[in-house]
Amino acid sequence: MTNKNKNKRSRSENRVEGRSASRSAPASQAPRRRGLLDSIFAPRVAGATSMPRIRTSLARGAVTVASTPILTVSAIAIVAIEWLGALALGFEGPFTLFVTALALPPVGTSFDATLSTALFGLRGGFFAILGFVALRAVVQALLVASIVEVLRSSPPGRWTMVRTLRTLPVTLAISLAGVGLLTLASLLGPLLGPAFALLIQMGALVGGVYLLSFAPVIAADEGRRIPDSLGRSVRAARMAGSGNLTLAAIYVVASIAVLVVPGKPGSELGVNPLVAAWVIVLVTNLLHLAMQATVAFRYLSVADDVPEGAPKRQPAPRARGRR
Amino acid sequence: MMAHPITPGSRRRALRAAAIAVTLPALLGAGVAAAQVDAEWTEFQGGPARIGAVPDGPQPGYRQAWRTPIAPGGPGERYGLSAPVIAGDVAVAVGAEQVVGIDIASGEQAFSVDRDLGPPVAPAVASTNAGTLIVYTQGWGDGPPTATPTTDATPTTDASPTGDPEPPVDSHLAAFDLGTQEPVWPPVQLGAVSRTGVTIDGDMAFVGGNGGTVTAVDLVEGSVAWTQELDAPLVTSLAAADGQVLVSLQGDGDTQPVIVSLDAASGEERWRHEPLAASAIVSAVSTDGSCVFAIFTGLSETSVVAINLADGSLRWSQRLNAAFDLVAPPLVSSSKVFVTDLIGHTRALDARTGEGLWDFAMNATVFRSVPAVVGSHLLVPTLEGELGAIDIESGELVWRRPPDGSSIRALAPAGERLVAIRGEALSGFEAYDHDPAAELVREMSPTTLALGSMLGAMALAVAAVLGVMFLLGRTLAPRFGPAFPDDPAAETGGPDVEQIRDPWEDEDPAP
Repeated sequence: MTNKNKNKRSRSENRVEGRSASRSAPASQAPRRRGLLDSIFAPRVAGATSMPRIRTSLARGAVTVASTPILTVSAIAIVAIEWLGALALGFEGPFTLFVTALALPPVGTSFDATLSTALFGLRGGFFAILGFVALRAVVQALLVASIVEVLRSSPPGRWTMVRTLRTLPVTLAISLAGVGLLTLASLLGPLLGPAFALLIQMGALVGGVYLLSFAPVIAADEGRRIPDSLGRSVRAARMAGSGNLTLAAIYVVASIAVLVVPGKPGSELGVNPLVAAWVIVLVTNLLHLAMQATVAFRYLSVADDVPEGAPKRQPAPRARGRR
Repeated sequence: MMAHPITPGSRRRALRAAAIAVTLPALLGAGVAAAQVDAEWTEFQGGPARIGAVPDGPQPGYRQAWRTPIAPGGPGERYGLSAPVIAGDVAVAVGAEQVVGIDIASGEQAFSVDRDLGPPVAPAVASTNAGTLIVYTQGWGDGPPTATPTTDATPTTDASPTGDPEPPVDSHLAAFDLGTQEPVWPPVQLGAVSRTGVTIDGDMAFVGGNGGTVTAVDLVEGSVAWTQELDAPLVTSLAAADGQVLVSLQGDGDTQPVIVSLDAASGEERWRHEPLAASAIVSAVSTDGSCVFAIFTGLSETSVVAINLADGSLRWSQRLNAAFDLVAPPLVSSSKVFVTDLIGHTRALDARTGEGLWDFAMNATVFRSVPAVVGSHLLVPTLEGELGAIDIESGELVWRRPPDGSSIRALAPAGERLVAIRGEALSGFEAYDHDPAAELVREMSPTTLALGSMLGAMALAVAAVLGVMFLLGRTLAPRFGPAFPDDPAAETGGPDVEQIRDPWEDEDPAP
């Protein structure tokens, strides 16, 4: 290890220790062991939160995207490339489907499912969605890493790629979880009746955004592994008074409203979208990116206040003397 | 059953039509004339083959020649008219409680014959020695949910020779003479309510019951020739060709939908075709005399299939990612097969290979609206009242009538006139003529890529969005400042590389 790296490690350890100290101070007793879905069912963290207000967060998210040309250009380029790729695969529209191309999972995952089904049918689409999910994971990892860099007042550069690579497993896990959530919702919906089907679908989307949206930010900023990132995302989402559920619900409802509103340009079959259709799709995707920046800003604002999870369950000592 | 002569004029027109129809068989010779004449439209989708095409007819564009409103009937007045058929110079359609004939030249009502309340499904025109017959089904069993069951006071011929102890279902096949509108034989008792309409091949009429019973009725004697129990839902029209009756049976939770071929003379099953992929429904079938065409729709995929008429083997299958109305059979014309899905996306396939030739997206709902090929144009009516004419060789739209909010259910070419059935607010008959002043277009499908214009639109939109974003960024960024002013990285202005930690560094020490 070089001296430079030693210094980095030393500073990093100091900061982690500092965070740990501030977080562990109120809990004097020994932490309980971690169990299945511990993060979701654990009691909420009491007390006030330093999570920024929703309006403040949204404004910060929008400014982050608007003031960073590389983010704006990247988002537009990604949407355009995805559209051209879909055309190459035989997609015939409607173009308006692409308003959720950069949406947060699982809203964006529903785009993957729809696109893969439209291209390959239900049977082929079932397998094709895995490819689309992988692509979404790469794109989201890249964008989240860039956003975190920007929010940390660092221009995206070579470190962005490092953050991207470390975020990728988490974004992949979230996208797969999104597929699972949507599948579960589509299976449960018909069982409970048509009146509940829509409610369950919406609930799955809101729940997914609410609980999982912080995880890529955590992975990008703190380099945590998948279980840590997911658990910490859930704990951050459930911080009392944070308004995260409200924000998730607003986001999901708005996303679906834009998707299903009738009569907008590009909502019919066709592969030659008009300028108006392009503007709608590009602006909507920039808003999705702004939402991603909003989520990142909110997490980074409270990162020090998010409690650590209970320690891992230790494996039972092996019986000695076994042959 | 009672005839309603409407006006002296309409009576004269009806008699004229009857006279022509009566003399036609005499000209053709003794016995029963072949009912299917390709150039005429004597049954649902033209004739027993259900190809939905005629070689000649009025060319697009069209102008309205006349309109005859017929109010919806039946319980709640919810049931409009069936698809029309052409009998001489009269267009005939079945309403919930009447069979209506309209003079094609003037649009005046030629006759209206009462029928028992029943599903309004297409009648058929049969030419016999006794005259031209309008053959139709009537009766709704226990009726639609809000209907009161009707009783039929007329004597009937029992289709069940075994003597079923249960009272017969209110469902019959009936026929009247086109000229006199008098019944030619007592209604023939059917085993179940019929939604298939009537298919005529030679001197036999074939109808299907909801439960899967196919009944063949001798048109001369008005008696049941044979019945065949297929024990599966049967709700789409039957087709007939080459001595076979082709039946589409729907699947249920346990069984696949199938296409069954019955011997037209005996009712014996010749073959049955099951789809390769799991399917839920199958469309009505059509045949070009060599192949049988149908659309199988399943949860995982939808396929247009061509089956050998001789033995039921699969000739080709073309997967389409779309949903189709099962009552509309594929159209067949000029060695092409045409299928139109629920969003008005028509595909033309090579009838021999199934290879896709062209497609055109109307982007309009085509549900309970059945397209037809007239001459060299495919006419696509829509739920909103649009009518598009597509050149069957190039796949380009040449003419389009704007929507008016009421559906066009079905079309029937009659010489140089086109008869249409309208639904909803404009319920009734309409006729269209060729409009020489109509402006024709050559519009390619929106699903055909125009790379230059698409990229141009994209570039314009990108430039506009980037410009706005640039201005927003320049305006807002200074006001908001950095997100985390006290962040060490913000102070130094460089990347906070320490925040990126190797994930494995934070691992708890091994026990």
